Amino acid sequence: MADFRISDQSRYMGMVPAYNSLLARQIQLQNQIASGKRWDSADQDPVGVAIAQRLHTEDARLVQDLRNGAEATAFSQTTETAVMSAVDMLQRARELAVQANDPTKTPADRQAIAVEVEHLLGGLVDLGAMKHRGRAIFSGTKTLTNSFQAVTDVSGKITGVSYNGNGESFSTEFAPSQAIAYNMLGSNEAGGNFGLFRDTAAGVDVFQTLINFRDNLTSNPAALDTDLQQISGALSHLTEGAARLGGMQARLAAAVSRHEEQRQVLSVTLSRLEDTDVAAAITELNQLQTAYQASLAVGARIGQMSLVNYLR
Amino acid sequence: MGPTLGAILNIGVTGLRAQQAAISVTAHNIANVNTEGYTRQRANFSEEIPLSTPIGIFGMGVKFTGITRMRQNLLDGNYRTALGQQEQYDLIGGNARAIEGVLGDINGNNLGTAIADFFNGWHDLTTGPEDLAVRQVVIDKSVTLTDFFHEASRQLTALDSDLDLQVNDSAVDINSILQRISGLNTDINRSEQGGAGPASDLRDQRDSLLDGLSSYMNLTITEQSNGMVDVSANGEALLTGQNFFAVQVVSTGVPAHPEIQSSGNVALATGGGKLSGFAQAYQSLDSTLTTIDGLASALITTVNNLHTAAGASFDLNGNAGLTFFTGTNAADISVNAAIVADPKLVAAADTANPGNTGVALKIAKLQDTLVYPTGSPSATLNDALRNLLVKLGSAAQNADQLATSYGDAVNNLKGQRQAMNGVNMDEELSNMIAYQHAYEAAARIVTTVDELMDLIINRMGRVGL
Repeated sequence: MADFRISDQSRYMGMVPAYNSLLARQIQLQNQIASGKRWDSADQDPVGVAIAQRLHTEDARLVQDLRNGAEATAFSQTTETAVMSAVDMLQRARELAVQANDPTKTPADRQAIAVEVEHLLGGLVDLGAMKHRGRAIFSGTKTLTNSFQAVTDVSGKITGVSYNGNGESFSTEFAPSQAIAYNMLGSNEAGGNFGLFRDTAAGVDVFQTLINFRDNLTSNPAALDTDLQQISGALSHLTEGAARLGGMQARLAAAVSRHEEQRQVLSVTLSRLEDTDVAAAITELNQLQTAYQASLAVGARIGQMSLVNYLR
Repeated sequence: MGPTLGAILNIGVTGLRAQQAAISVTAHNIANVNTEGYTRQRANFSEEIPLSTPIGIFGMGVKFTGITRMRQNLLDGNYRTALGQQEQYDLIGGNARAIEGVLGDINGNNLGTAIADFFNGWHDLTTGPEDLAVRQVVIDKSVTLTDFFHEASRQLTALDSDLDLQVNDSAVDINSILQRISGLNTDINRSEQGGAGPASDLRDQRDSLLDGLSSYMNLTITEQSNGMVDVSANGEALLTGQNFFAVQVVSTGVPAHPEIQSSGNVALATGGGKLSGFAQAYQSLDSTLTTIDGLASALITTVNNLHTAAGASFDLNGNAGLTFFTGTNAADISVNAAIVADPKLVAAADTANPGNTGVALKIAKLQDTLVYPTGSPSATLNDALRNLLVKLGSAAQNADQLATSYGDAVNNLKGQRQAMNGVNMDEELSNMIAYQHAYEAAARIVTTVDELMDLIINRMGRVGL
């Protein structure tokens, strides 16, 4: 059309959509600045939102894995405390065994040692009552039951120790699809791999060893040498337990630091992806406001011009 | 002999009449400068039939020959097609954005975070199955999850009802438009009979109604020689001359949705327009609801299977695990009331021991292993939900872009239409000045003839008197 007519309506018709789009973009920028996020619905950037959602899920997962890891570590540390006390007690028992083997010791001396051994025995049984967050640590999954029960004779002397737990272990995931069993059994007589105080596979029974030692002190001093060897064997078994816990904690700690690092990377990526670039947004907002004001001013001025103004 | 004074007076009168008529047309144009759909009119003149005399052929003044309606029908067709497309994508985009909202706040809590929280609750249970507080948290998170499912389902149903209402209202509007067009057809036919020229204002009204009707569907409009238009859509006649065939709302499809059909039961949604938009909006509502229901159902079945596994699921009392979730879909998924009342009934163990966390661990692992829909190994529940969100977001974005682009086309065509139809005040005022001056000049002719007659009648007398 060579000669394009402009009607009065079309003067305004073109302006309104322009005003609207300038205003809409301003509002969008204001929202982005106020919320700090680049988007508030998926249609603003479907792919970006999808990536961000995926990263958020991963992050939430890492947080949970960290929590699981921390809890497993705490349980294992409580267990370790118990194991270390047991180690201390067995070390004392070994010292006593060495002393008892000294031919200069009199039966009265050995009797005194036997009294101390009885106390050590009681102390070990007490470890079976140790709990972490209300969970008995050595009872397998029978966590509401104390692990050990002392069997006593009429005089109150411990003649045996029974295991009240079972052979089950419990696990938690410290990384997707990676579960770790974080409890240690007091005994594997009801099943399971490693029994700390009584291990049928390794032939170790810490309680029976001490009971034998105590009894031999008074009734059969000739066997004390064997007792010393057995105590040493039990001690090394407990140390092995401590080492197992240490290894598990190290594995968890490695996972924790890996997760922490991953979270840091995630948060940087997420921030780049979904956080508003405030400087850029404010600059654009200023530009838009200028453009908006200019177009309003032009619109108002065009409206003023008409032949009507020049007629008599 | 040339024309008589009387004939000259008459020439002046034709001028007065014609300019007056033209000023009237101009006044009508100016008055309608802001009337939506108004087509500017133009006054047409031609010379009167001349008077043949022995000394020459004398012009007998001006004749007002009628009013032209300044309109190009080609632009109307393009405008209506673009308008239909714009309306369609506006509707689809609005609907997709509304559905997105159903899933929750993407920057805060949403169905996805609720699902993740649910699994995290079971994770927590793996490190404290005897702790009633931890068990309570599992129940709370499960209830929150069911709330999110209920809310999503409720909102989708509400959107569906809104669409139903819109479809019904549209049918009422379409029928009302058809009725008014058929009335205008009659009026136009009557007004134009006897060659009175186009009934411009009635035609404007009819064109505006046709614009409105084309926002619903793609129309085929045929003008008959008698000035009436016939309207059909998708091959179905909606209007022939004075007769219109009311459209009807019929519930159809699986699941059933209302659809606007012709009186002959043919769907009218075709090639753009709101009616096509409705069909697509229902589709995306249905598929979203199917996904949400599917997620809920997968969760119900899988969690229940683990929670009630015979001989491999025990609560804190050592009893066999109960059904964890009741219901079958997003609308009715609920946590078993017995479990809500007693956290001990959450079955975390696969042996009857309080510290056992076999079941808790298996349910927690579902976060990575439970897939939806079955057979797509990479889509966990969260993945499926994210896919849904992207699908909806892209649909909304796509529809918005198309709506904007068709909107630009609509504005552009509106501009072109305005270039032809629209009133320009400067132009009208210029015409008015021209007509006014012509009127003044014609009046001067009448005065002049009057003076000539006065001279002859009153002042011509006998010589000397």
